[in-house]
Amino acid sequence: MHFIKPLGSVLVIVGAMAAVAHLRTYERLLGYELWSLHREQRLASEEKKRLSIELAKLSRPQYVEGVAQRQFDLKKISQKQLIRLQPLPEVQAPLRLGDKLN
Amino acid sequence: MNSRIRIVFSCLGFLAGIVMVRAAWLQLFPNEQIRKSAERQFQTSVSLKARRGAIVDRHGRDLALSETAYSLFADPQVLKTPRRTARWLAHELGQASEALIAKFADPQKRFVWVARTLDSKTRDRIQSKKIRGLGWIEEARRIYPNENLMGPLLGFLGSEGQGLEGLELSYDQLLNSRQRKMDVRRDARGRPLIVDGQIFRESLEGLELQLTLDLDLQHQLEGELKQAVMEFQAEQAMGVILDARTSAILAMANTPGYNPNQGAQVPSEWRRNRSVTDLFEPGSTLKTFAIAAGLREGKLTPSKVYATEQGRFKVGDRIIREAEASHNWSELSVIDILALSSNIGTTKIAFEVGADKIRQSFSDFGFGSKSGVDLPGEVRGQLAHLPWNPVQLSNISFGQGISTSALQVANAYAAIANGGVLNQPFIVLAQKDVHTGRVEITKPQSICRVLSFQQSSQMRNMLVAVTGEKGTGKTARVEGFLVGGKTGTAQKPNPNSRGYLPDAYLSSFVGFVPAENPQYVIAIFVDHPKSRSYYGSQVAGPVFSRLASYALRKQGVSPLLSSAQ
Repeated sequence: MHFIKPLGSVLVIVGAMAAVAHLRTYERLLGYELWSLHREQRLASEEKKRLSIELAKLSRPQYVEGVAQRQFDLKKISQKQLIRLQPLPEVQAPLRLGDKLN
Repeated sequence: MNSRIRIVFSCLGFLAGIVMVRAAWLQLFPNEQIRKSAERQFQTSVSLKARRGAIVDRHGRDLALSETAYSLFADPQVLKTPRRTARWLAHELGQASEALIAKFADPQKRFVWVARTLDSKTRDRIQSKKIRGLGWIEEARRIYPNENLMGPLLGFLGSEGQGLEGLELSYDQLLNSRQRKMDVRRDARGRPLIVDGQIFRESLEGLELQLTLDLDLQHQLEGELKQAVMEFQAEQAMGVILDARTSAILAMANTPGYNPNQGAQVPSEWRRNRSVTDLFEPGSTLKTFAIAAGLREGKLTPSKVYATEQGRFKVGDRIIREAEASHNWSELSVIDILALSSNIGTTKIAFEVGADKIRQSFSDFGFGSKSGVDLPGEVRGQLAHLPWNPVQLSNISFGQGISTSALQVANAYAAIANGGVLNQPFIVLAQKDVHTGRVEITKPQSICRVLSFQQSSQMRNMLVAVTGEKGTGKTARVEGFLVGGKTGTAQKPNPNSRGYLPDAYLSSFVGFVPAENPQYVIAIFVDHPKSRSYYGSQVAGPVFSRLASYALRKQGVSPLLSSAQ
């Protein structure tokens, strides 16, 4: 029985050292994973940037105007194409049962 | 036997003891040289890539962006078959092979650029060949997706990513973020060990600039200016559109312009943002401010009548004439002096107000000093010091012998349009930190009050008369809206001697819409129109009208008048 106490202590020490080693290894692994995710994120953000540049090129006014005129046969807006907004006439709501008459 | 073993063990124990003592010594009292050597062994440098901030318009549409690009270099001493490699690379990159062969043939060089800022597809294609002696450096490439639009305004970058012109220059520090290197520990394979996530917390992207510009309005302005230059065979044209209330720049252009994607290849005179950097004599558009000076000093009312001497008025040894011989008016009210653009009437007003008050008024409206706009290369203009002789006073009152920039004139009209306050024009609406989301919005800055509210209202009414039935600015009308403004047809000074160039004019129209509640100030200047006409009313007036009509329609402003009115 008297061998158990020192053996237990040794086992606790070895176990603790193994746990520390495991945690350190795990930290490294997480670090590598983080690094590769960071690279992936960078590639994705570069791709996003590339696509937004392409979108900006496709939506520039001179290009849109050219496409509208060439492919859809649209004409340039003229000065007289103004829409005059008239105020809408007031419409009275129909009377319902129980409404008071003025 | 036992004694021998003891001696051997003792010796080994002694040696181990020495090693342990030395190790403990090094731990307790570290040696600088050894520490550095250990650091070299366990540390690596990680480059944190910097990206220049984007520039967007007031609606968030991209005007300038940066993307990652790859630059190819070679070490000629490591290349096994330099000539063959040069020929293959030249074919892949669309370059002349002779230049590359010459670069690779120099035995002294260990580093030569092959090509700068290539895209990732080209890099992958070249990299797949696995040629020894070729290497890559990551760089950023600036893209201006709108090509020729607002080239002189945006500017461009130099080969090392520094702003050289326009906004890229004036906001270089804010937009730019320098590439940085960070030392981190590495493993046996050289991979960085991420311990505290510091690399990911670092933000190296420059601030994003949101401009007050409206891309659609800018496109219209540039299109109209180009058309005017072609139609009247003019040398160039400038235009400015301001928010009448705040002097925020909504559009600013000069034509011919340039494509900032090829900025370095363009001659320097094309790169100027002429609305800010170039001076000219404004001509009759300045009469407005001589009359405003009279109102300020209480010397006149809109209905006051001046004798206009049948079109000929002697001042000192010179005869002041009206623009046309047929303009032989005997008397005109102040409203008519402005509406018909009378030189003699304006001279009479200037004489009544006095040179010192006229100069003070012009100076208060911002002439002769920088407006403080956040664009590079702004000029202050020339407003002569007192004393002025009568001829000089007369000339300056109708816009000769004084020089201004297009922005100064537009901003002075904005002061009349907004109720009498001169504002500082600005082009950056907000600065945004894309990582933290923090946005710093520019507050419009007032410089000084130049007219009382009532005086500015009187000025606006008089300027509306300019676009009335008998006014010179009839062509600038916009159907359904009241327009206020002033025409200008200024002679161009001779740059080589005194006097003016024969048959060379600067045609202009500066005005605001809708006159009852001004939202836009539009200034159009067409330089030296050579065919059809040279009058401001016929050259610049219609351009103003089309632009004002577009701007109002885009903004959804309801017309005040029906077409019959």
